[in-house]
Amino acid sequence: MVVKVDTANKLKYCLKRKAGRSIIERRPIFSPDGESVAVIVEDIVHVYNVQTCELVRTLESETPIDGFVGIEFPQNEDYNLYGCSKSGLVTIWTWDKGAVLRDTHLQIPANLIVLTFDLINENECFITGAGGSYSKNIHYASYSIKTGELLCEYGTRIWNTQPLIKVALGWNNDDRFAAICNGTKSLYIQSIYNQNTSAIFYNFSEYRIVSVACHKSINTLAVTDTLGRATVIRGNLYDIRNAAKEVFHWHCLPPMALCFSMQGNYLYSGGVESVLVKWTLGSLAYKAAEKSFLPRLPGLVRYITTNNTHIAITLTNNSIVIANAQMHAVGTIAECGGVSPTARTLEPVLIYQHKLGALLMHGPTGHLQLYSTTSNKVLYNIDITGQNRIQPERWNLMPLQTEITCASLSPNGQWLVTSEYRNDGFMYPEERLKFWTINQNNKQKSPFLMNTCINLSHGGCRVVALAFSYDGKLCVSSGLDQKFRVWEFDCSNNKRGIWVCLTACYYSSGVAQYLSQGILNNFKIGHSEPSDDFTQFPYMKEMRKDDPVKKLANFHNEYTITDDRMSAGSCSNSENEMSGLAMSRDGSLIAAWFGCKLTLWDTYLCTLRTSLSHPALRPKGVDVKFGNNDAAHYLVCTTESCLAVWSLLSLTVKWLVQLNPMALCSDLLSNKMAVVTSNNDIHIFTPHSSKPLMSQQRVSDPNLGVFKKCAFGASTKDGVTLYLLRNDVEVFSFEPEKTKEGRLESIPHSNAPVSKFSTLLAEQQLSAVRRGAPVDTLASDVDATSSAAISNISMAPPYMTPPVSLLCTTFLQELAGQEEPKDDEFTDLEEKMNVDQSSDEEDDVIKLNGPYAPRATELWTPNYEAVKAKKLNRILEDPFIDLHATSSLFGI
Amino acid sequence: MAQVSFPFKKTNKAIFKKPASVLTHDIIYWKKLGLPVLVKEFGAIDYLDFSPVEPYYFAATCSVRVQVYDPVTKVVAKNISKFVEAAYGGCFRADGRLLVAGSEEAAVKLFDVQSKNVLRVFTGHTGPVHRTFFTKDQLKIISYSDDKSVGLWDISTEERIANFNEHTDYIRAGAASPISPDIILSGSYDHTVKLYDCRSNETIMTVNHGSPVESTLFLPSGGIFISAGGTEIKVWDIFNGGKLLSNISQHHKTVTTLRLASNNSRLMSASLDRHVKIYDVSTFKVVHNIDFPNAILSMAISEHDDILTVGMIDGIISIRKREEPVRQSEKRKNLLKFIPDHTSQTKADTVEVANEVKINKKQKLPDCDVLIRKMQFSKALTVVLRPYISVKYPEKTTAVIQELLRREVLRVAIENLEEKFIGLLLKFLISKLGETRFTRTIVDATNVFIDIFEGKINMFSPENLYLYKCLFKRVESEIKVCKSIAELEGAINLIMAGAQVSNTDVYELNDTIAPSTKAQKDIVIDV
Repeated sequence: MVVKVDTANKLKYCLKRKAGRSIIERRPIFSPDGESVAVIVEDIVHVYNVQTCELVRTLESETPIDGFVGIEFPQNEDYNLYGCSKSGLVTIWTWDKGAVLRDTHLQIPANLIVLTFDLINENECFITGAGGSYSKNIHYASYSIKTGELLCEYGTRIWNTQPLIKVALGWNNDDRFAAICNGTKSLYIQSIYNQNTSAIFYNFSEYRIVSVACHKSINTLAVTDTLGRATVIRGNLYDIRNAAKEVFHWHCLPPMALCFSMQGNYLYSGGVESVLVKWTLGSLAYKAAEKSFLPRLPGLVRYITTNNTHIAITLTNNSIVIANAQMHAVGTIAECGGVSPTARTLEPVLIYQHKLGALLMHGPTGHLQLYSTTSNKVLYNIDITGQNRIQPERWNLMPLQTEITCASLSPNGQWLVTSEYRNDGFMYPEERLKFWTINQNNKQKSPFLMNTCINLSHGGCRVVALAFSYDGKLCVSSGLDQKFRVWEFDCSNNKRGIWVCLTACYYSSGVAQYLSQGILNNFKIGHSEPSDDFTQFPYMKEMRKDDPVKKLANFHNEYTITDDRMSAGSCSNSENEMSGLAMSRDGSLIAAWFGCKLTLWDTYLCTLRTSLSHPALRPKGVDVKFGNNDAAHYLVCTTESCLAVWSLLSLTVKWLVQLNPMALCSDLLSNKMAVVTSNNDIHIFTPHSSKPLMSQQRVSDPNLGVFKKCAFGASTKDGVTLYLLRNDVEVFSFEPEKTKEGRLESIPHSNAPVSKFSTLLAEQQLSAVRRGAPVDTLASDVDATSSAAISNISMAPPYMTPPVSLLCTTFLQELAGQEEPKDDEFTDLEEKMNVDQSSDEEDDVIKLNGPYAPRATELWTPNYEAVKAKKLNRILEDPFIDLHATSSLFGI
Repeated sequence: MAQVSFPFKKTNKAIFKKPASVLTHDIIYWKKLGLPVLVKEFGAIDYLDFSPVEPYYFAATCSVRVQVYDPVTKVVAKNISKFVEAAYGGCFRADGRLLVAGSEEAAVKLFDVQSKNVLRVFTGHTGPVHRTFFTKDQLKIISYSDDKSVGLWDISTEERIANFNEHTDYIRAGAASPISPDIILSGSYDHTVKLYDCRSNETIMTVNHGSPVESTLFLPSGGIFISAGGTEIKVWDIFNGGKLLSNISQHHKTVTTLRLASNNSRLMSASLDRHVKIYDVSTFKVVHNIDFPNAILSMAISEHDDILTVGMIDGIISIRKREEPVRQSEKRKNLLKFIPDHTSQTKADTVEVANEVKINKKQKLPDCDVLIRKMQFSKALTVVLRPYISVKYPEKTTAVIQELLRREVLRVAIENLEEKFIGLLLKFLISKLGETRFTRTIVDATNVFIDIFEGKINMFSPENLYLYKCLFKRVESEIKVCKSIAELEGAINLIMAGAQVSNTDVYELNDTIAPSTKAQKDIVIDV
């Protein structure tokens, strides 16, 4: 798979999953001792501590599987954990050691995918499944865990409504039964041991049942329906019509999650309102019908799990909130992602923050997330919009929230700029640009403080790109109003300083903002009234195409909810539409795409310097970046179908490659750049040549997801780290392969005792035990210590410090990373000339003198005439496009 | 139960806040002019002029002498008193070595500043000469006299080259074109401003200012001139046949002097109403105002805006010197200034920490937020519609309306309003429709309002019906205003394009002029 182009580079790169895996797909469970909570993360079980919410350990199956569907502790054998995979492989772990005790393949029908897994007791389990011959109706049956045999398959046909199927196992007078709901008005109750004993309960007034829960030991069952009611049923559950019922109604939207407390005195429910409600059941007569709330959870509630002391609430923002019995949130198990469906349709954000060693990306609605790449943890959720989430209503189940459309970080890490946008097609669009400064004095509290907020910075049109100058003193923003604005940090007025608009530049008539936003031009037509009669909403009783309840149940990976809403009312005019934007390293030039025209502007005079166009760049540009270091005179740009490099000295295309770039990024500290294509090829190159330094094809299957964004991480001496964001908000890292020593702990492949003798051996030998060392919890600590070390070394007298050649290269690079941008233009000029006076000569010098040879320019006084002649020669001789070389190398 | 883990956020009203007393660049810039030093002279200060070369001496013409002051020490450096009667309009040449002044005795005299000698005496006028200037080539002198004539004199031969007798009243203002040595301007008390071409000796253009003209000025492009008189300042376009581009009416008494400052990007006007006002040349908007203790007759400002001198009717000259000299950034000298958008500053918001639960003190939410949290939208609306809030803090009301709009519940909230509050809502909509910071939200809210009550207008009480009609009219007038503003914007853009020319000419003036015979005869004994 790996195609290595540069043979000199011996590094082997590999793709690693970094973060953003879904931890909310399945219901978590508490361990029997109540100390930890086990969470299914695809094919692994993560165990988190309840108090600290830290990942304690992971449990894996022996054979590779395609994801677990359920885990459970049997009631009378609670020292073992049972888990079942999608393909019906039951794995049993011992809880204290995490060793795999046994694997059993359930003999399920071919091609069946298990949907739910519930333990009847330690020997038997109840599963539902669909697929294969069971496409229309589901397969539900009990199996033996010991042998994997089918014990009993039940007959009543239950319609397969995939994400809505929920199963609960309960007791009815010493008889086990399974209650199954599938999002219709009927609830199926099936005795487990008696195949023929079953009942169907139709909900009152035919409202659809969305969730079901049973108590572990008492004859109690609870259901919720689309009206928002929770009904608790007691008595003979095969004859629900005559059983005792208790109705709790606070929710107005379908409660998706339902759970009894351990003792059965309380019922927890939660759903689309993002509120956890704790109901007191009738059995506690002295405080009957009392309820308490945990409101404003950061996402929709998917699952609720309880034990005696804690509640775990699984939310759609890819986090699990742990609350105590008093309904106070005590911690959050957070994972990257959890981006709302609207934000998924937007251009994602992925920026590497060098100071914190963290990635900045989209978080839950209105938030940005800082994810530490060193400790692999979500450090902060930064509230950008500062608004409450808009509550869904019956007529508006998925309201449009204000989303962050764009964000950028200044190269020195000092400033963050964000743009937020909301356009529902009825109101005037809201759009705000916010500048945040890094919070230096109090690192623990919040990483960014708001400095300036500009309302309607682009007249209510969406901002599409943001870029900072290298020193962070200037910022440019481009919007759909076909203008870009230059912002300057101005601290003349007060101490803190604010960002002010220097100027707005436009390539066309400059009236595009009125043309691009229909809402600014047209008469408004009043929209239909939301009906007060809630019974009219069809989703409450019937399941139709595009069922909203289904979408809510699948909220965390839904793509189709609000596709068109963010662009409501806008009529695009791609002729001069703006996209990418960049500022040169010295801050004197701005490059901006206007349609297929790449324009260059003078930053200070705000005048158009030149506009570049090429037939291959039609119809529309996407991204643009200036080269860094010795490639500062190159401009790299991408369109939907090609990657091109312009030389700013000759204003010609240096080279051009036909591929489908998805994202382009450049390394701050070197001249390297990376491009990711739509079939997940990664090319790392320098603007100097079309021959990539490293290129790897199809690093992951494009059918699973396409990389939409990339960012360079901290690079080492010879290798680079590239972070990639897939369209399902999972973060990958593309880095040199490491040896096994680098790993934190090596996981033994089989934990099962092999022989009697081996049980006698100590599990760990004293000599092998590593001394415990405090773990750096926050990357900022690393940063602090490193900067202290740097200052230590730089303060020390020269005769005390080790020779420079002995200092490790990363340290030197750390120092190099803090260099101030050169501000006088002469050095820049010299740099360019240095490039011009041909790299092949320089190469020879370097080969002669080794890597520490002085640079040629330092010894050589520039002969301007010669350089000029050489430059002219070069421009004349160079072919404009090196198509031969490029096509062969990129394999096209 | 108050939840501390996931706090309810306050409705953000900051975006609708008035950009209250924003400290603009101009205010800070002009505030840096230090405290005034007052100098008493005899008689009203008729004219002030700065020498264009360092050390920027300035000449103050008052009663029978021209005093040349040192702006640093504020004492008289030179005293030119070769006048029998009152002197008027002492003006420096571009190299600061010569000075010309008119006088009550109808003669125009040219002095050497260094030696205070009279070099030339131009006789021929029959009335007092109030203003005198050098032409662009610095070889000729223009004089404006009360005998209703404009004279053009050659310095070297001391002869009158041209004479224009077209005005019907005193001529008290004029200017020489900055782009041509042959074009001059005169403003008279007969309300007209005339433009002459000295090559053909004819009047090219006449415009009517509407009141006696006290001062005139060319913009450096030479295509636009400005006249002041009465309480108004008017901007005229020469190339457009004398089209009136703008009419600035900011003073309430006669405007006496006009000057350009800040590298010709600011216009200054002084008036008898004791104010000096500073305008942006691109927009002609007032950017700053300086108050003085008495009616101002004359004003001058030095290069780089370092010293501002103002002469008052009671003979006092106020000298204000900048504390620190301005550093002009070269790179943005010619940049067209754009007005920045409303930039509001808000305090940093708190940031939620993912893995930590903050137990902060219980903060009391405002009433309207509590009601929004409890989903009592109608009540929340009534709270903010109360006159106290809606008049004093309209941004709060608007922010709540916007929040209700976002939640798509404004309809519900308005439907459940009592009659009285519907009236209040209408009043709020009427009064705030025109304020730009609110307009967008108000228009949205009005749309919802009309959607609801479209068919039920007749059920309104008479007061509300009246208010509804008012709203209707208000919308119409607002549309009209918008249209005229759009037209005006287009017109102003034209001026802005014209005002971007720099003038840096260098003259070779190494001539040494010996006193003429007429000048030698003219002996005035200083009393």
